[in-house]
Amino acid sequence: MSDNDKDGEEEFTAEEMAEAKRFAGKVDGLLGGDPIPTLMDAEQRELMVLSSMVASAFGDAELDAAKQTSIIDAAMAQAMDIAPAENDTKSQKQSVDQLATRRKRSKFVPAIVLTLVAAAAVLILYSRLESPATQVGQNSVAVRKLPKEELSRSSDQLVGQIKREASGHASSRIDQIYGSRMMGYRSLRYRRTVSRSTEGSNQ
Amino acid sequence: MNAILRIGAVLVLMATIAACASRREEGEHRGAVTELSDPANALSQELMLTLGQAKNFHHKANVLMSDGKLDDAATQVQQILDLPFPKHSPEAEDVLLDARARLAQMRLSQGKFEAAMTLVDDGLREKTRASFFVANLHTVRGEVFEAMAASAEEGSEASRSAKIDAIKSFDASIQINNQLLQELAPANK
Repeated sequence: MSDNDKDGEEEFTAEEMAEAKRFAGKVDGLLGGDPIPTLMDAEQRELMVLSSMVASAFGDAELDAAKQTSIIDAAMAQAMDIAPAENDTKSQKQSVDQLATRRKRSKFVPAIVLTLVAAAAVLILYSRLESPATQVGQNSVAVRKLPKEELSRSSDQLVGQIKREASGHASSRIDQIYGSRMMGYRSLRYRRTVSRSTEGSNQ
Repeated sequence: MNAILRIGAVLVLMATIAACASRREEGEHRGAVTELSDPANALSQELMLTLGQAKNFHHKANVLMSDGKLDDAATQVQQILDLPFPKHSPEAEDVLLDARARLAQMRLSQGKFEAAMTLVDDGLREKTRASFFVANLHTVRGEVFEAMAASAEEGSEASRSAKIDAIKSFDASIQINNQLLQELAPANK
């Protein structure tokens, strides 16, 4: 009595054994780096992929990196429904390649973003250190806006039209001009004093 | 890849810290050294001193004139023309033109027509803008021509010519006054 008889199972036929041998050869080929045969029904394909993964997990055999990527990309392409018809090998390969390229590129995105942010920060820092505004800031002088009364200006509005009989009354006109400008000048001096004492108390 | 990410993160961190530090220092610097300056045309001590001096000379001249010392009074007014007024000060120009007008009238009252005319003409050459003081100087010029016409022989060419010039000068004065009164009218409302 054979082992199979003991388990209550029928013996494999020669044809089944030959089929199993062919399948094992394909799995070995897949593990060795061969591409998945394109003309294969979905059930057989899944079985083959699963077998190669089981063999890889339990045995010494391991799919090389390119193969792993290829299998994962193929599965992803199928899942995302962007895979072309099975017999369209060229376009399938292209879509798989596109996915692989995208994935490779996406790996660099965080590094690129970080580098760009760092470069921007360094540029901002450099521009701050070198900008004339900063250097001028060390000796910067802002011009204060003053009321009209504190500015030097024409005396026309103060004196008005000079009548002929008052033509020689320059003495009274300079009294007017001097008095007016002295008021403005005192106001300006007071403003300066207050401003300085405020700045002094702020420091 | 991880190494690149780590380097990037460290760079970002360093740059951010440096930028923050730079901003703080900048703020401290500005707060410490920024000054508020007055505009160039602010009333200045220099202007006030020269205006005060001009005022003194005019009043001194008044006192001297009250004693009939016309030459001495004119000398005082003449000194106003030599005062170191700040350049481009409108008040300085006004006060100088007014001093010239007064001095010209003093010379006119002494019969010194040419001296009076020179004072007036120099003032009109130096003026930089139209003003009531310029108009007044034209008035004084008209008065000088009026006096010259009166002193010339009645009906003579000199008399006619002086009268024409007097009218021209008074017209110039009237024109400037009218122009300024129109310009200043909105400001007075």
